[in-house]
Amino acid sequence: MNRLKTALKPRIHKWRTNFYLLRKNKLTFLSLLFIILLVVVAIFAPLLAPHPEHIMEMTNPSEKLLPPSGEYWFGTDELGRDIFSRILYGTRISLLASLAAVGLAMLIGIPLGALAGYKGGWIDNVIMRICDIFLSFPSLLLAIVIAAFAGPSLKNALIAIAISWWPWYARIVRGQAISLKERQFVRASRAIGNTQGKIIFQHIVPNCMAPVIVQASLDFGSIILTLASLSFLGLGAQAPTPEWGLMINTSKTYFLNAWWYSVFPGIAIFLAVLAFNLIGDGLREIMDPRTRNR
Amino acid sequence: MKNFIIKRILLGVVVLLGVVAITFVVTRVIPSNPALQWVGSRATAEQIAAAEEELGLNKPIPVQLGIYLNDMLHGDLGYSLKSHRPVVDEIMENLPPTLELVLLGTIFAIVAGMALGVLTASHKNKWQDHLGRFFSVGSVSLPTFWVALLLQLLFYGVLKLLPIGGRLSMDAQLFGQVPDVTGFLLLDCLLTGNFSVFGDALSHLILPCITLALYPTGMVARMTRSALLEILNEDYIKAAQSYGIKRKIILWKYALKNSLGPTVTVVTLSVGYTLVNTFLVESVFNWPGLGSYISDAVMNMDYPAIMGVTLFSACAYVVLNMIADIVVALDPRVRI
Amino acid sequence: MEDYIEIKDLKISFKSYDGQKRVVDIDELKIAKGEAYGLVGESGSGKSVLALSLLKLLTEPPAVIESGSIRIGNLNILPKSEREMENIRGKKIAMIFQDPMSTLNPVFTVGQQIIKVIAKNQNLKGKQARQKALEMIELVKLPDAEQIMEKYPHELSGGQRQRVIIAIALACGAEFLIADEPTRNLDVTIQAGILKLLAELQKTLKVTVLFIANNLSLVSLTCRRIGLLYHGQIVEQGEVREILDHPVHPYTKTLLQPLPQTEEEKEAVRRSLSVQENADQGCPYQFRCPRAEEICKKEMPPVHQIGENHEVHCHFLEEGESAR
Repeated sequence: MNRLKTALKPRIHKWRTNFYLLRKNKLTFLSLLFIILLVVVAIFAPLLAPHPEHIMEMTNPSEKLLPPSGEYWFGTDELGRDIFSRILYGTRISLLASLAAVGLAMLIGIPLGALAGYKGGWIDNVIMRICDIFLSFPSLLLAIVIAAFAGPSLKNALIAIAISWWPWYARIVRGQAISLKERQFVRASRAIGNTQGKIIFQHIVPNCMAPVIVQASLDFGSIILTLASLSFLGLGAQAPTPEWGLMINTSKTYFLNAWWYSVFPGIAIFLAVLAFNLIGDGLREIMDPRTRNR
Repeated sequence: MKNFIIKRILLGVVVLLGVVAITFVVTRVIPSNPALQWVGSRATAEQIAAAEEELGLNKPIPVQLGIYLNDMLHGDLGYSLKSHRPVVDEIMENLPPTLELVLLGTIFAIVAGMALGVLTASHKNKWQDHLGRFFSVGSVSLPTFWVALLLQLLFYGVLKLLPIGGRLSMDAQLFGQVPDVTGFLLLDCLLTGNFSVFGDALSHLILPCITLALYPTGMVARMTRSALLEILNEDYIKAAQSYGIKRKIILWKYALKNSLGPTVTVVTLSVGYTLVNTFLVESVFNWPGLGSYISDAVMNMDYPAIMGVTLFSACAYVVLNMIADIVVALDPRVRI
Repeated sequence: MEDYIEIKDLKISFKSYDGQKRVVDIDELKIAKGEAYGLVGESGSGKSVLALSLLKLLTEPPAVIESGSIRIGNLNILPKSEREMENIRGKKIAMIFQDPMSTLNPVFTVGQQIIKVIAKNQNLKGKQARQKALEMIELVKLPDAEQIMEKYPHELSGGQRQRVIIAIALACGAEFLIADEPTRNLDVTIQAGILKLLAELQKTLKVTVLFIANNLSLVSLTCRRIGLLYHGQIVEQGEVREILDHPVHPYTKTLLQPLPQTEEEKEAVRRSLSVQENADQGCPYQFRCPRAEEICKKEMPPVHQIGENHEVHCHFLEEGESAR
C-alpha cells in the first residue's frame, strides 16, 4: 500500500503542477477562452451576424464604404456589405478550412508515419527522406506553387497546405510507432495472426493520436495564417466568399480612404493566430521541464 | 569534421534533386492539361501542340523528368507567358531589389531581435520579459501583408512621413541620375556618392524593410532568450562572475556570443520566410522585385514564371541552410 | 594568528515544491590568514553551496540564506549589494571550479579569457595585460604559453584546462582562493600534479585557501587544518595530522577505513548508504551511525574540545579521548 502511494505520488504531483502552471500563465488561459469564443462564433455566425444577407453576393451601392457606425460596426465595403457580419462569417471559413487542412495532412501523414515506423528498413528510409525534402521548403512557398498549378480555389488551397504540412505528422507518428511496435499488445496481436494493415490501424495509429493532436493544435495558428496569405495572393478563397485574407486583398484599392476595410479583417486574423500561438507557447513552457523554473 | 561536411553537402544535393522532383510533379502531374497551362488559356491548338512537343508530354514520365532536370542544369526555366522572355533573365533582373530588402530586413531583425532577447532574458519574469515575449509571439502571428497596409496607412496616409511605395520617387527617377553598378540601389548610391538619391531610396526602403523584419525579429528574440537562459546557468558564467566580471559584460559579451550558434540557425531559417514574405509584401509596396514578379505571375497565371521563382527560392533556401550548418559546425566561436 | 575568514551561524536552505530543505548549517568556521583549510564531505553535503555563498553567487531563489554572517578580511559579505560584490569578487576572492570541462567559455580563446580577467582586476591593458597573462600561464607550469594563449578550450586536455583555470583564478590577484574540488574530474595521475601545483602556489603566493574535496587524502597533502562536513554541518575539525591519526567522529572513521573486504563489512556499508534522509532533530549522522542511540535522535550533539586544535560534535567519546 505504502509502496503504491509513493509510486503514484510523483504522477499526481506532476498533474497538479501542470494545472497550476496553466492557471498561473494567465495569457495562455485567456487565449483558451478566446478560442472557445471563436468556435462559438463560427458555429452561430448566421445567428450572430447583424446583416446575414450581406455575407455573400449582394450589392448595396448607396451604402458603400461607410465608416463604422451603430448600424455597421466595422463599416461597409465597396459593395455596401457589412464588414462585421462578413468577419463573423469568415471565422467559420477560416476555422473550418484550417481544420480540413490539418485533417487532410494527418490523413496523409499518420498512415505514412505509422508504416515507416512499423516496417522500418528501406520503407522507413524512403518515407523519411521524402519528409526531409518537403521540410526543406518554406511551407508557404510549396503551398503557393501547388495552389497555383492546381487552380485557385479554397479547396485547392487547403489541399496545398495539407501537402506541405503532412511530413510533420509523419515524423511524430513514426517515432511513436517505433516504440509501440515492441509493446506487448502489438506483439500479441501479431502472434494471433493479425495482418500488418490491421495492426497498424487498430493498434499503432490510435495510440499515436495524442501527440499528433497536440502538435496539430500548435500548428493551427500558422495554418490559419498560411490560408489567409494564399487567399491574399488570390490563390485561396474566391469572391464573394467572406474570407479574411481575401477581404484584405480586395481592400488594397480602397484602404487609404476606408481604413476600416483593411484594419478589421486583419485584426481578426491576428487575434486568431495569436491565440493559437500563445497556447502553443504556454504548452511548450509547461511541457519542457527545463524552462519551467525559469 | 570533414566527414560531416561531405555528408552535409551530399544531403544538400539529394534535397535539391528532391525539390526539383517535387516541382516536376506539381507542374506536370497535378494539372489536368499541363501544356495548356504552359502556354496560357488563350493559346491556339497549334501552340498547345507545340508546347506538348517542347515539354515532351507524349514521352514517358521518367524521360520527361530527365529532360526537365537537364533543362534546369542548363539554367533553362522556360519562357514567361506574359513577356515571352526567358524566366531566368527576368529572375536575375528582379533579384537585386528583393535581395536588398531581405538583407536589410534580416540585419535589422538580428540586431533588434538579439537586443530584445538579451533584455527579456536579463529581466526574466519581470514586466520587460512579459512584454518582450508577447511581442515575439505577436510578431510571428501578424499577417505581413496586413502590416504592410497598416504601415502605409500610418506613415503615408496619416503622418505623411514616408512614401507609399516604389523604389524611388518620380523626381529622383527623372532628374536624379540613378546609378546602376551592382543593382543594389543603396550600395550604388554610396559608390557613386549620390546622396540625394540615397536619401530618397532609403525613405522608400524603410516601410517594406520593417514589415519584413517583424517576423524574423520575433524568431531571433525568442531564440536568443531561451539560448541565453540556458547559457546563464552554465558553469563558465558562474566562473566569470566569480572573477568579478560585471553582469552587463557577461550578458552582452560572454553569453550573447555563446548564443550565436542557435541564432545563426534561426536566422537562416527566417531568411527563407522573409524571402517568401516578399511575395506577399512587395506587391503592396509596389517594390519592383521578385515578390512583385511572382504575384503578377499568379495573377496572370504565368506558370513558367511561378515555377521559375519557386525553384529558384527553394534552391537558394536549401543552399543557404547547408552553408549555415557547415559554418556552425566549423567555427568554434559559434559552436556550443 | 588572526582569523581572516569567520563564518558564524550560517544557515542556507533550498526551496522546492515540497518545502524548504536545509543544506548548510554551520555554527562556526574560522580560517587564519595565509592558511590552507580543507573541507571534506561526500557529494550533497553542501560543500559547493557553502563555497558559492562566500562569493554571494547562490541563485536566490531557490536558495535562501536564513541567517548567519560571513566575514572575509574586514568585509561583511552577506549585506553587500550585487554591485559591491562585483568589485569584491576577483579582487579579494577568487574561485577555482570543479569541472574543467565546463568552467571555461568555449567560444573564447584562453588568452582572451585571462586578459579579460586581468583587465578587470588589475587595470592593465594591451601589451601589459598580455605580458601578465603569459606570466600567469607560466606560473601554472604550462609549456608554450604563447601557443596556449591562442587555443580554444576544446583544444586542451583536461589537466591543461584545469591549469588554465587556476591561472585565471590567480590572475585575479585575490588574497583568498576557494578551490572547489579542483581535481574532481581528472585522472588520478593528473590529480597529483594539480595538487602539488596548488600546494606550491599557496606557499609562494601566501594566499589563504579554502580547499574543498570529497576525499581526506586529497586535503591531507595541501592543508594544515581540515573540517568534515556531513549534511551541511561540521562534525569534526582540527589539525590534519591529529585527525588522521586519532579520528573521533564515527563518520570520520568510516571515511578513513580501508575498502570493505568481508561480506559483513560490505553489508554494513550498504545498510548505512540505504538511508538518505535528512534529520529534523538531533544528530545529522544518526541514520547511518553504527552506534546511534535514543539521545542522538533527540538532541544536537555537543561540541567536545579534544586537545588544543581538535573538536568533535558527538554524544559519545571513546574512553580516554576527552582526556587527551
